Amino acid sequence: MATVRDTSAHDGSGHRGPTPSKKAAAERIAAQRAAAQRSARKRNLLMAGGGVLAVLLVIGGIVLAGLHTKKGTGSSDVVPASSAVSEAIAKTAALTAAQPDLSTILGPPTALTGAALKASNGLPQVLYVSAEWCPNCAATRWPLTVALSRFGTFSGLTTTYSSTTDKPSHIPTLSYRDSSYKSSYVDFDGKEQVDGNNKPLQVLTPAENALFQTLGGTANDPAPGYPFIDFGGKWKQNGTPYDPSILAGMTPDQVATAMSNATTKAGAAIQASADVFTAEICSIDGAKPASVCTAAGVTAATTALAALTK
Amino acid sequence: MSSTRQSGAPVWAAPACLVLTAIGIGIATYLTIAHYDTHVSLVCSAKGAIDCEAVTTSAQSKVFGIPVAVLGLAYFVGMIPWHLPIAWRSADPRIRFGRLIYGLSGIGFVCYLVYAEAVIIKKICLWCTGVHIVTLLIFVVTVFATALAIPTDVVDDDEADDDELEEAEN
Repeated sequence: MATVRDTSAHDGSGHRGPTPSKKAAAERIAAQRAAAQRSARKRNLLMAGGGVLAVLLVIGGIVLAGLHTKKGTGSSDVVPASSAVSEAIAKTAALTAAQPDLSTILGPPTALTGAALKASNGLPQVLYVSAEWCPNCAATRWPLTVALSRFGTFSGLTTTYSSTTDKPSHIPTLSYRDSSYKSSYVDFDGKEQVDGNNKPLQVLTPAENALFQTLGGTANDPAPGYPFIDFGGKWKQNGTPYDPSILAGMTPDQVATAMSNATTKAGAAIQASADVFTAEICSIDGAKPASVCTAAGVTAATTALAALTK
Repeated sequence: MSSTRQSGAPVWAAPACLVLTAIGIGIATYLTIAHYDTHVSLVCSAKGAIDCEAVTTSAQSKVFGIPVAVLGLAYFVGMIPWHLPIAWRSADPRIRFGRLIYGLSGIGFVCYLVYAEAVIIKKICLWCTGVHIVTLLIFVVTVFATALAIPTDVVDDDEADDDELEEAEN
């Protein structure tokens, strides 16, 4: 009977382990794997480094582009007001019944005691002096337009944005530069004295300029500033009536959508300011039309105005 | 003999990314609160090119009507699952590449916001820049940790595969 030769290794204790040749093979395989992993890691790291470098170059390029672009006032194009804006102004103008949220009024008007301001046609006049780059003016035009729309009709309204380099920046707004206003109750003279690039646009008459120089400042800052509104010589508005940052990040159409909704910040502020401006116009035109001047919202604003004169 | 495949990612990858993500969440939360609560003002200089308010109230502060601060907060919260230790240990290529693509999407948005600040608004918001730096650091850590991660098989049996050994011997 042939015996089977036992070729397995023994460690003396009778335990069977790997043969020397298997052990060497295993070590060779491990070394090959390690080398392959090192090579793969090196390749991956090079690619990773290249990717990160590319990202840094792109960001650096953008920053350099910013440093080399001409610094301007960041003016925006002036375009005809969309139908959505025009319709929203009319819709909001009709909202005179609701009680205004007067807590949104940060800059109330000031009562005047001088001569009445009248237009050449004998109607009491509302004079508005402004700049298209000005963010406070941007906020003010919305409620002023709504208020005046209760007494007459605008045509030729345009929309634009205030300066991107002022703060708050890029506030959506209207412009009166190409507009006309018709009313049998009040005359409106809206002057955009400078455009979005601070370049001269519309010229004040000597009388308007005298008024602006005299009344355009405040007790804290006597220098005339934008916006300035003279309501028939009886009230004046220096600065914005509400916080313009409420409109930040919006487009004119978005303001139009929000304007007629008093549950929105923009809607509450614009409607309240419009009611205050309406009350001021009612005080100079003999409270006509009665449907506007005796409406609940306008009456509430009138009461608030009366408190300012006490 | 059984084996599990692991990513081989460095052990520092998950904690580093999670710490950076937490910082990003903190800053984005602050920016979000400042955006909605007018009583909260950003602690920020207003000299020269630095003006946080100008940037955070600009037209570019909203994308598709959503405040950028909110988008940033959502981005960092969404980043958490990608950087959990279990995700970094996984060798699933979908997780590895998904993590990279998510990080790259953040970089793309950072590029747009840097463009908005540098070219359009021409003002810098320090807090926004902090978020951009955190996003960039997370991307760098992710890229390099992924590069170092070579998937390995963890073999339960101590002996090498017999077929492989036999081939090596021959």
